[in-house]
Amino acid sequence: MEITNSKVKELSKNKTKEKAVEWIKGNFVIIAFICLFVYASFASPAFLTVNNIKTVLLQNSIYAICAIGMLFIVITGGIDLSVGSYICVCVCFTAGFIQDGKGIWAIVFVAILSILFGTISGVLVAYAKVAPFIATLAMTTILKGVAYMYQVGQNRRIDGTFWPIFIQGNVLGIPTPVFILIVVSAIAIFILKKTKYGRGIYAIGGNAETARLAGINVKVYLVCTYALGGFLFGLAGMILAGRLSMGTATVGEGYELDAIASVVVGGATLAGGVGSIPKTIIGAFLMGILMNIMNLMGIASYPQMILKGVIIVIAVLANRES
Amino acid sequence: MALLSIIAAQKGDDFVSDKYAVDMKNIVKKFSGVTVLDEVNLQVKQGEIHALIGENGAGKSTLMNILSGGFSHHAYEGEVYIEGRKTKMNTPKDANGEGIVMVHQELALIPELTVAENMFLGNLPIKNSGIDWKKVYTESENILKKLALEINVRTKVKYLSIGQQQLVEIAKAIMLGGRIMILDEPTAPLTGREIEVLFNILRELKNRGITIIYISHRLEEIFELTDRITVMRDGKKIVTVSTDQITQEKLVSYMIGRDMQDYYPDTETVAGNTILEIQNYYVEHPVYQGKNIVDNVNMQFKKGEIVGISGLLGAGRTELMSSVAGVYRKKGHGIVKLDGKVIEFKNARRAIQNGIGYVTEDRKGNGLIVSKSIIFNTTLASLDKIKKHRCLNQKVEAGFVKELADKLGIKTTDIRNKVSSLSGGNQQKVVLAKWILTTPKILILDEPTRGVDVGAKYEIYSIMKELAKEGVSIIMISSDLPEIIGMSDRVYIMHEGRVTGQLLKQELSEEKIMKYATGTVAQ
Repeated sequence: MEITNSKVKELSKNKTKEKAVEWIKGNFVIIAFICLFVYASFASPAFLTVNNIKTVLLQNSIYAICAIGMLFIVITGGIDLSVGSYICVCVCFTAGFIQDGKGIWAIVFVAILSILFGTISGVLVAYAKVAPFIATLAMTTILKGVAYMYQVGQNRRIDGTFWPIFIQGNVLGIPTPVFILIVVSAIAIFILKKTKYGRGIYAIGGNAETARLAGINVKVYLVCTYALGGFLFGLAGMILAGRLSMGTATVGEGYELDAIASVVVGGATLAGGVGSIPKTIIGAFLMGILMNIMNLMGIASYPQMILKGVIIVIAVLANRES
Repeated sequence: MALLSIIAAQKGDDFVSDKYAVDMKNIVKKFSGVTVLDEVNLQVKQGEIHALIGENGAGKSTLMNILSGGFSHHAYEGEVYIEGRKTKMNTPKDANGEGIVMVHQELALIPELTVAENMFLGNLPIKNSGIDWKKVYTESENILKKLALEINVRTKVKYLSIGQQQLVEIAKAIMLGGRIMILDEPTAPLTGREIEVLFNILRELKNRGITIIYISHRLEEIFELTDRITVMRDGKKIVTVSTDQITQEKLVSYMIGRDMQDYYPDTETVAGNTILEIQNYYVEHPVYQGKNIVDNVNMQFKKGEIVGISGLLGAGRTELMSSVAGVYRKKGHGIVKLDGKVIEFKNARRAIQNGIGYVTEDRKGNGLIVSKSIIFNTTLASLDKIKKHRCLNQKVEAGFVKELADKLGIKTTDIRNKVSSLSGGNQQKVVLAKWILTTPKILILDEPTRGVDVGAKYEIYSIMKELAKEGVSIIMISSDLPEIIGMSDRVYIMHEGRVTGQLLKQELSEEKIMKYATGTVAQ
């Protein structure tokens, strides 16, 4: 009896331990975020000030919006490498259209264009069966080329027009980019939790064949996902144009990698089928705060790059299923 | 024989027999506690063509895997003597060293390399620290010539027909010094002419003293080609006989002849009106042009009826039903009538909307998303049913799933658990729950109890009977004969794409089914 009892105890102890480990793994990004935040607050007196936090939020809203777009695509088991080029081309178009006096239509046109670009990637992936990596790699150079051709070295300053004023201002007392991020996150959470489409893309990422046999329109859903991603990347570009008050084809470098890193640090796997919006946003801000505190502490940019890479590897290892 | 004696004598110890090329003694093999080979003895004479037959799952493949080094000698009990020597093989390479070569059903040639390169793969001759290409091409040419094969050794393998590829594999095996050759269902993908070529070559090899073990479902071929036959059933060797001393009927009775287990629920079901009709239905073979994998099939299904579809592997059962349900990669040709109206299901969505559920045979591959929860999987095909105010509602969803899980007896602590944490039987119940939630009028089940333990089998049978009682038309594809006989009100039997027979419940016997399934007789 004694043996059984102790055995049962040991078993239940193991079970609790297992559950604890599972919980930590499942919420790794949140724990890491809190730890980093607390550490940063002690490490530098400049960190926990209204101005600095505002800067961090402002800077990283654009990254977080890209990460949300990337998450949708990653959930289907795909990837989009052309984020940076979307940003680049949309910054140019936004500034250019505004300069041409198209007013608010400039924003509508850029939104439509970015959806169109996404649709092209989606059709390549879903119907032409091109690997997402390749299809979006091609889009990367195509969009970049479009941006340079459109820009042709012109000065596209849009200071003082409605758009920079809107983006650099506040909505309901919140900086506009942060406000946009909040709205986008809310809609994204709703789509993933409450719509057939949201459920469908998790299924596609989990097992596309099972999804097809369950009557899910895999191809259409895939196209929609790349189009949605394209829209969000385009939106990020528009916000950046507003913040810069100008159009230039030199921006956007490396955005795709930051987006992928945020998604992965946020617990999604590139194999598809898993991922959450809140954790992805926390992932994006985790990376942002990391950069911020290193800047405040005067760490040079090359060691920063190394540390960023290390964090990504640790996050992936922590998220890996046993 | 003299040569063998010399070899055996050189080896000294372990000398047992010089009569057999292969002598497997008391082989016992277990997979996670389940005995799949039970004290099996197999003796194959030098230079004979020896057939190995049995139903699916009889243990033929496992036995041949042991012989060809697929399992280490630590992984099974018993002894293997090759040409009289006791051998302990760990890898296929060890088996090759003993002169044993297996020609698999799935060919192992590399499509982008030439015939000659494939034949010498892993053994490329070296001359002056470079590959001796001249030798590669001349030697491979010589061997093909010896076998009277008209294949250019410089052709890339991808341009060869499957039949030619198989012959290249055989040529490669001979080149590697193979003296004992195992062929697993070699004729399955071949055309009549290619089969003739293969048989001629096999006879030629036999004349040269090469021993051949030939696994096949096709009894006519076995009678045409082989010298002796070993029958296996349920992991046991039943008998080894000379081919000229046995009839096909007798052979079939050896292959089956097991007691019917008494675990089929005796729920009474009543057949209603015809709901689904298939007329003159064809499906092209996915790989071989000009061949039909389903050939002029006519079938009828009634409400509240359980219809079994029996046949051996490759008979076209899955291709037929998945094509009718709109989920097969090749489009079927013919007429499908639902409730008397001609209809075509373009995809799974259309089929589901029209009340067709299709439970595939590959539960983990495409039946479930194992990394997702029971809830997620159960509602996947009926997301419109869990909506409230046009949004998916998690509460409504959980309610549905909980009710179904209780009803079907899905054993789990939480319906939010991942499906991968469930046993095979419970996973299959989740698949059933998914399709029941779509409220099907016709439920097609492909191998519904494969990999399911006995207890859960009974529960799945009960669910099927219950559904039939409620008026659902159940179509069950199964390779398990007792299951077909125990569950079906009516059975269609297929052989090579055609329906060769139809039997009513009272006429069912394993012997009759096997006769139709092997193409021995046709109605």
